Amino acid sequence: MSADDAPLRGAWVPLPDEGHRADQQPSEATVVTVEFFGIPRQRTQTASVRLRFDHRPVEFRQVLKRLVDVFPAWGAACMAGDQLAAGLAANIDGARFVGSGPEWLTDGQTVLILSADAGG
Amino acid sequence: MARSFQVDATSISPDRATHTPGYHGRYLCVDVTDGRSRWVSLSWDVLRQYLGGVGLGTYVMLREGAVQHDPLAPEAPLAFVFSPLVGSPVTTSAKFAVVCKGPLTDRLNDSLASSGFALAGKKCGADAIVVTGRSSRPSILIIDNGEARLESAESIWGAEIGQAEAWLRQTYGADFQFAVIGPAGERCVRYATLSHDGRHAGRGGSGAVLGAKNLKAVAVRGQQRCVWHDATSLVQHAKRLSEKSFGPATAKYRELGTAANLLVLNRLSALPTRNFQDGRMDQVDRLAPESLGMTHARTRASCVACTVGCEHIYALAAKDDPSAPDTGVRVEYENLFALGPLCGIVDGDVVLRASQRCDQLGLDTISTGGTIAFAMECVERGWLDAPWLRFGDGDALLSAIECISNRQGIGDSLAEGSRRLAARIGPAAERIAPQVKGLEIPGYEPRAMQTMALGFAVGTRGADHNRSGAYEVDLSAQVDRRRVDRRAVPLAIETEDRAAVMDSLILCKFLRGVFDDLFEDGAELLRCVTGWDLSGAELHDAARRIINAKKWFNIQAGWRPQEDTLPDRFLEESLATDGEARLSRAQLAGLIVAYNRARGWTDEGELPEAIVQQWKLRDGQNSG
Ligand code: SF4
Repeated sequence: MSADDAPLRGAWVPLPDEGHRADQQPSEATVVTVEFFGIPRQRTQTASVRLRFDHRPVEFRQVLKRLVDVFPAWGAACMAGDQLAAGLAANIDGARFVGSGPEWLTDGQTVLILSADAGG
Repeated sequence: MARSFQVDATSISPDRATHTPGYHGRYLCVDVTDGRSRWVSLSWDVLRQYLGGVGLGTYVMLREGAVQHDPLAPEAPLAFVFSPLVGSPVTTSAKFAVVCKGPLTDRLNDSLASSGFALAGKKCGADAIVVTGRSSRPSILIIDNGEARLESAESIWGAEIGQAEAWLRQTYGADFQFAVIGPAGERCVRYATLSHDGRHAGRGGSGAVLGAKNLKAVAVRGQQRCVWHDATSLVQHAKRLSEKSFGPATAKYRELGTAANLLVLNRLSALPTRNFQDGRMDQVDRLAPESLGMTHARTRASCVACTVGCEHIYALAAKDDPSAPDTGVRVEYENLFALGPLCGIVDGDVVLRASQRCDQLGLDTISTGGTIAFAMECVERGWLDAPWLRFGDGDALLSAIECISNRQGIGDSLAEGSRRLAARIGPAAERIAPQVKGLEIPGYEPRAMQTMALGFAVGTRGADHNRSGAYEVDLSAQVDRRRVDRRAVPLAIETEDRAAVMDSLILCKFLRGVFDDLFEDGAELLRCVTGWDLSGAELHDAARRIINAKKWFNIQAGWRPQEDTLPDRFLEESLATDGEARLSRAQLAGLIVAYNRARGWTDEGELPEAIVQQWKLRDGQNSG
């Protein structure tokens, strides 16, 4: 099944109301935390959100699609088609930046969405 | 004020070798010791090769023999350099470069500032104004439509920047524009700034060079406009660029300013903290623009002729403190990081006040914060006897800033910068002094951003995020920023080349995201202004020539390969908050060799004779 075919099931759960407790997740669930910085944070008015998918793993573009559902204003300003708009970047767990290829996420991972231009 | 003496400027020659549209084809050189002035012709091919701004300034410094002088000696030249786009309708183009041999580095130093001084200076009829000599008393250099004279600065000697600018405006009128130094420049603090209308040619100490010449200010006014080759096309291009500048590529700068970097870099453990002992700081969100905006009134401003408007000015007084003075301060990422986490401080009031004091005293915030943070760690380790100077102590930070500007007590040593201070303390201190070639490291932790580490190490100005934009590479999927290898080298070089073009045209870096192809688009703008049949490839070559010329200057000034490195701390310790952020000596050395080879230099970074000849680097040197 390609990433695009993957059904988007499950509910989204904004923070900070609900913590992630592994013992509460169905065995096939994936919880991904998304942290927003800069303009994405301005558009969502949110520092972070926790998304739950009832399948695993989850492809990065599925996360973006879910974010557009949750934050339409963010989607309008920060997405170009099914990708992040130019000038924005995504990073997984603070470690690696998302490139053009598929990026699979597992339960408990964190996606940072930020401005790619950190010039000072 | 007594206008006490005038410089005889009769040596001015109207001879101009070129009338290339967009240029005057000459620069004015004023010796403030004896008042002699001279015009120097700039040929068509020199202008085409070096463009303007930082590029032309490098050529002028080579020509005026700056390599051979101590930066604070009377003979040392300092140039205000304009560009072909100054005065055009192209957004963000009202900029000027200040170029000299740097008092912190003893290497080439170039810094940029914006606004009316660029417009008025170019209207003096010169592509650059070069100042040499030393006035016998505190003076103001007036360049009035190309005629130079000196007037007394005794009324404002000792004045802070705002006070001095107000006096100058009142005394000389609104059609003059001023570049001013503060008390720090007067006392030759090696990282003193040159200020204009609240903006600063900040890095490297050009304010100290002006102070060493006994000049408080340079005032410019003129009526000489340059023609444009194809005004209709230029206006069309400028319009398109302005429209794009309202788009998403600059949204961050418009809405939050560069301060938005703070939380991102903290999250990536790349925020220099406590003199680079760490990459992350608790509660740093108190300094983020979102938080500061809750407690302090914020307004936006922009440089003259800019459609972006990245300046975010915060009131010094908290919103709930009506008794405090109604003063604002420009907040950027670099002053937040350097006067905040680098010194262990997360109190917004303290950081705003420290920034405002640096602005008014005329101090570069990065070098001020870097030197103070280094001293704080030396105190912590028992190497420096100043028990009051502790990480996290806002009062200590504010006191240290005043001491530096006054060169009072320990401030006299701190005014020399971290490299010279470390040399006095000893080898252990040199391991942790946060500098490259004497210039304090900006707000990007090199171990966590290793392409940037390469950019810092090889930078001709020293540790520098404006002449190398390698942080962009680190914040992308092109490299693994904590395990960078040679594949990053061409990417780092590309950012240097782009910066060289932007700094020479001169356009604001914050516009870089709006170009489809900077070299092609830049060439098109130059074609409209000058009429040159210039390709993007030729403009890229100009960038390479400029970078080689800077390196050539440094070699003539005594550069040695061992200068291209980072302090031992970065090569021997991993980052406390991120054990994977490690950079070995061998890794950095390998990157530097790959960089040198890619530039066509020897493995050690020397310029082969073929390169010197290819870029004609000896042409014009010392011939002025
Ligand atoms: S973007 Fe900012 S720094 Fe650049 S020209 Fe505009 S106001 Fe000045």
